[in-house]
Amino acid sequence: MSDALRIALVGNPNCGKTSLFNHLTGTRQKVANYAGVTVERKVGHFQLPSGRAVRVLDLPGTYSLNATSPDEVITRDVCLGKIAEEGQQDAFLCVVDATNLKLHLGLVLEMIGLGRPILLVLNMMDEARRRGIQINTQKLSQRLGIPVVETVAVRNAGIENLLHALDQEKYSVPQTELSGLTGTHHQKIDMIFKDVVHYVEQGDKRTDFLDRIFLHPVLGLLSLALMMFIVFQAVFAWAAPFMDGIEGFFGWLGEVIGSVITQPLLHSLVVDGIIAGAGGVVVFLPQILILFFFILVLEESGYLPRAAFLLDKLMFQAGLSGRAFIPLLSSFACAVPGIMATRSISDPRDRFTTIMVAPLMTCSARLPVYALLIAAFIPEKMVWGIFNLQGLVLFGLYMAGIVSALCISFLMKFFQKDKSQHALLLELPSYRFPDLKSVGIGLLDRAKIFLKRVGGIIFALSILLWFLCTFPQPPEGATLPAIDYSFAGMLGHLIQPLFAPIGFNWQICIALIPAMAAREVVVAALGTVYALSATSDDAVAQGLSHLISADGTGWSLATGLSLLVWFIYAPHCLATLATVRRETGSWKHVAAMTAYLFGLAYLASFVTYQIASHYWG
Amino acid sequence: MIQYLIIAVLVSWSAVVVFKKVFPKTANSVFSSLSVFCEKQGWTTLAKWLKPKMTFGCAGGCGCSSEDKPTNTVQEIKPIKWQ
Repeated sequence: MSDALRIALVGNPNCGKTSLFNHLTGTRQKVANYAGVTVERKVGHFQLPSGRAVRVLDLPGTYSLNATSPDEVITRDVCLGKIAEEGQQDAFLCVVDATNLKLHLGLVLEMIGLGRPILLVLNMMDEARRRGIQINTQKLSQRLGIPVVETVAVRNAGIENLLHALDQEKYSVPQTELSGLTGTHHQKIDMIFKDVVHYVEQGDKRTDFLDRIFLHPVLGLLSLALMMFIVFQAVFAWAAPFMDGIEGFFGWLGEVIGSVITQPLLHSLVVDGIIAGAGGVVVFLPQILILFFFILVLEESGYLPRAAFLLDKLMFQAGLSGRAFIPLLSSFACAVPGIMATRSISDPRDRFTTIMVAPLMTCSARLPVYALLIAAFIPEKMVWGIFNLQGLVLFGLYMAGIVSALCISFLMKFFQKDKSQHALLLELPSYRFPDLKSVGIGLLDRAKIFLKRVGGIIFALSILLWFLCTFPQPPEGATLPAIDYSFAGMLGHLIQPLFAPIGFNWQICIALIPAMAAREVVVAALGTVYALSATSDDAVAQGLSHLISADGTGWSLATGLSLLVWFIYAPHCLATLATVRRETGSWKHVAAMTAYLFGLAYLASFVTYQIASHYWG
Repeated sequence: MIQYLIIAVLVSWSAVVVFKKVFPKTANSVFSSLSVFCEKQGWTTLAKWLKPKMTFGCAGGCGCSSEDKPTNTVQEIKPIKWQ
């Protein structure tokens, strides 16, 4: 690979670099219709038609080489050759958004000033044509003194031309001194723009129309609330038949396999450990996919930066930068990429605040826990004839996470010496119809990630927990259930007094320990613990939801609500804590985050349990 | 007897998987040391099997599992330092 052609993709945020990277390399790096999705450099490989190997580097987007945030620093350093291993790029592919050429030419001129070989990739040409923007690419090439190739990266158009251009080494060091243009940077851009763009329609009518609704101070907030509301209603209403199907399948599987395995311990391992544990988590796959369907559609459409704009004032007052919106939004999928996305925040204080509150956003791992507890303790009924009560509670839990994050950031701002504020500067992309193929691929990736977790860490933890719940075996003449004599039973009884004030029984205490690896493990752990504690196979076959809400042997409503509230705050995710350590470079920050989140979880659960016990017993 | 053997194998495998997920760095160094030891003994197949594989993604997060091998050969490069 030493003679491979080395190229780097450079451009403003949201110009389609990663889409191009994915098409060139055949990979599926995350793309979305907003700025700041890529926050670190990524390397891929592909071959040109001639067979020559190419090493391509995807860089975070930047508006200029004067970097202000950690992600922009990477791009600047690569372009300036400051990173040793990336110092020898054969060519830079300068990717520009054809619909926003004037803005993007700024970085192109800076790149030309570096005197490195450049090939200009004029992307999103379909959108430019739709809006009536005509660009004379030949003249643009002459003016800039570099070759120009037209592409539509999201539709895979123009990629062949780009590959041939690379094959023919059409990238070149700019020789023309910008065709003798004089004046300031902006004057040069104006001159080039007027010269090469022949007709510009006044704005994008579709975007203008939708923005009149979505950016309206009242209608915008109403539509945002309505959208969120529909999402959470759909998560419960649409998923039910699929979940019933999966639950029925695992019930049937347990019966079939259980009847085949005659050895009692092996039977218990497979039925009570694996199927009741890991199988019980798979049930929540439809809900996760429905949630991500909406998130992917909103990401693709270009709506999300508008939501950031709408909420900027609120976030500003709470001490968060408007730039925090995208990292916090990413945290709804998982806090790990959310925390990594804070690299797009230039101010270290704002970045730190965002990192500290990111775990309060409801990640997808919490969804199985919420869904289990809501199904068990919240009746399935309609409110005012149109709202599903379970959906309302789920909406409330998500809102509780958001409101808590705003309160914590406000408190952090209160105690910080530097109270200066940073205005939000965010590019609003054009609205696009979501590409169904992209959404489908995104959903497929989510399903694979979830099933891999179930088949990996959750499966393994279910087996380990079954072992700890089964051994040592009860002594001769034992009167209590066998699990009470096991390692897990003894540990559960030992730590239960600590959690008694918040209403947790010893089974919950056991489940919370493996849940430190990942939140949804608590569902698998409870499944295993209750399957081993159950008096009959029929009770196990009814599912975990029935076991924990059964009259007499199940939990009280107060305990169920207390556990729900616990999971809003408790940092049950070692990967998140490791990422905080990596991004902040300090164990002190990790300790502070762990302490405040567990403290908050305990306090909120205590209040919830005491109030719920008082009113509902 | 066979059921105890199957259970022992499954529990040991689970312990290794959980150890690798929960303590990735420690697991990496432990398995590297074991791999080097096996190579010195001439057990090359075992050494190759024990050698830790390069992880991708964001290592165990709910959004991007470390087991997700990207198609082709994308490698994520080490994170930047706190500025």
